[in-house]
Amino acid sequence: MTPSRRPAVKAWRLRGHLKETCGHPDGVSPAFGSCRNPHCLRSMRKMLAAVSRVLSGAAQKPANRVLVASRNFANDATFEIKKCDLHRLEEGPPVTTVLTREDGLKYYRMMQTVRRMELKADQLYKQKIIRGFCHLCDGQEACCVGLEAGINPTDHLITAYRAHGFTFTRGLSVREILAELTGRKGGCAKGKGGSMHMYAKNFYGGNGIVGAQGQIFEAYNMAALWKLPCIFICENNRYGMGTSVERAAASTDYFKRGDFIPGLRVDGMDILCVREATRFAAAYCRSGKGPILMELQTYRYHGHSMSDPGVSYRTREEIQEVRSKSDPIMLLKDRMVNSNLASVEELKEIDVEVRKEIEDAAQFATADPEPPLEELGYHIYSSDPPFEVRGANQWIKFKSVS
Amino acid sequence: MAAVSGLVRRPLRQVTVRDAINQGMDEELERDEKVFLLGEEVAQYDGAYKVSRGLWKKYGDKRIIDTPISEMGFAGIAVGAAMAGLRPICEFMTFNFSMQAIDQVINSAAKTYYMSGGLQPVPIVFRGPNGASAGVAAQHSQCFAAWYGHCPGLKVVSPWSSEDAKGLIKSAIRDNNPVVMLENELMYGVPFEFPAEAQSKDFLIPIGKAKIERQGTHITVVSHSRPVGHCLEAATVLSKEGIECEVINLRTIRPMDIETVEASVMKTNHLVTVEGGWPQFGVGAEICARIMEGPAFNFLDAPAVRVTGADVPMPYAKILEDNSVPQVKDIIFAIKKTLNI
Repeated sequence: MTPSRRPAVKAWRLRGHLKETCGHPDGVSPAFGSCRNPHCLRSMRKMLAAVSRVLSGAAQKPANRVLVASRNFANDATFEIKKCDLHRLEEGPPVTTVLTREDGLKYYRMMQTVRRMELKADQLYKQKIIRGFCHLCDGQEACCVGLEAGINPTDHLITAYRAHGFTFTRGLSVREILAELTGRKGGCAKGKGGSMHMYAKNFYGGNGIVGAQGQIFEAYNMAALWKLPCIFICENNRYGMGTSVERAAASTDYFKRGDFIPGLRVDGMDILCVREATRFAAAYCRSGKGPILMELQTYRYHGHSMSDPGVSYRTREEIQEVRSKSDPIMLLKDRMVNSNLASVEELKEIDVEVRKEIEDAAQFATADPEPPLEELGYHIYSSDPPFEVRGANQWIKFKSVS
Repeated sequence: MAAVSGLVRRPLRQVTVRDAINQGMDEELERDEKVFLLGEEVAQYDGAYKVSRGLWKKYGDKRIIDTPISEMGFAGIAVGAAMAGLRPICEFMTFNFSMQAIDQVINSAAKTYYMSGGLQPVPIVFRGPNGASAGVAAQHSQCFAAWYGHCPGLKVVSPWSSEDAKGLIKSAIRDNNPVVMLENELMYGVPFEFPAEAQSKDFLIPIGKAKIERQGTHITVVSHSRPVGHCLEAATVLSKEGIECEVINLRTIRPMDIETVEASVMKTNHLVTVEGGWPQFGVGAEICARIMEGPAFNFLDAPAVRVTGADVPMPYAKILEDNSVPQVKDIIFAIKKTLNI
């Protein structure tokens, strides 16, 4: 028996034990003996064994791979999803959907990446490496990932300032995003935009000026009048900065406020619900029927921005309840594990890989140099010949290049 | 004994700009029940920058009103209230957001008394932070002094110190005309000594009057808002080299107290203007034009010089941002160039 096989056999046996004594529901052992049962000596022994294996240089990974390959995962599974509330629609998105193993793993990885990226941004902000405004979207991962799953990369997307998740799902790397947050030349806007001003192909930011309720209604009118293929999306996270929706809106049925525009109210914490609703909305638009509205009911764990602790206008209990009952990543994970689309270890492996990716990106974002001072005047105009830009006084000049 | 006690000085109170504005609003809310405050997060959140802290608790829902995020809407509502006889203070979370509502500020507030032939006054105050902060990037860093200062019918004030802030907000609230008060987020937490008279409930600073913060003989340096502090720093540095700068704090952008500037230039023969906003069509440009039109021109020994923000949308990266706002070194450089040193 090759050395790498031995741990595998041992792990199988341990798994059986764990099911009996530790009460783990599916007999699946948590990685590296992280069983919380203090009386589980076997679990502790496995943990010590794992640690000593790592220290002795033997690879743990091949053992896991052997385990995974020897398991039969389902190719796909069917799930029931919440029915959407409808406005001016005879029928809505389907109430069941098929999730393939491949898609599930992809969505899980994407949501976990957004989650970890936002938490890293929180950390960097507290270390004062990120400055200014920083609006985090942890809790709302199902919205950006689910949306992207329902549209094509050639569709166009624009959003407000809580934009890091969308920037990622629209195709930018964590490196470019974090480096933009830290204001370095490797950032997606060369460090000149910051948190609220990130752009990508078919992604128009990232915008800092919001509210403008009047403009929304003007847009609704013209979109409906001209039958523009436009999905208006409201990520309803219950609060506008420190003001709850009840205190700000005469009607909180945002999906109905397009009036003559049909609308859907969607469970924004369930990525499959978001995906199906988006597919439905996109199909509606593409068929030439005109605009449609989607309200995604979601939640943000952080305050409005890093300067808002987020607990003066809502309770910690409320935040905790959402985290424990409706966390989008947890919901997907439970579904996948319970339907045998993936194993807990496999998902934990993804967690580890994501953590590493974020760590690497953060390293880059911290070490990359700031944009050069000579380029302060660049990119004022597009497609223009170079000209001179005035600095703080008439003797300080910068060159402006398109 | 009597002589000694006469020399005992009572320590001056230190008050931050934030608290000074808070005090000013509190006193005016108490004095006149027609005064009220509306804006985003002004009530239950205590103000996005805590300037209205404690006011909702004291005055309640009818006087301190949280609005939805709808600048055009609530600015319009505020103007209507002013026309009907109330005295609203309309807060913009930053003046960048006032661009959403600028039609109401200019077309509904500023021009109405004129358009109505003197029938309809609009006693409203628009206030909030203006200009650059720290790392808030292009859409949140614009200075609106030149934009609002451009319009007849509006009064525009720009406090620097706590004393300025309290005196000007009170005058603005008591003024029967639309007044725009351009505050500065980076100044909110800065403490200043509060002279005894500023502690009075009737302490007012007249709108349209500049203040000479520092007397000097060699050059006149004119500024408003946060850069006034930078000018005083530059003056301290230059004083060691024997250059005495006269630093003028404009306090009001419109109507501008050009007479104080002229009198100073006629004494010093040199002029440098300093502002945070962009150079083109800015406050400094206006000062220079007016100096040329008046008696002070003939007293200039050198062309007047402007120190301003760089002519770019505000970049985010720190090194770029630092070089896009006027720094003390830029002011010193400009002063020395003007004096041909």
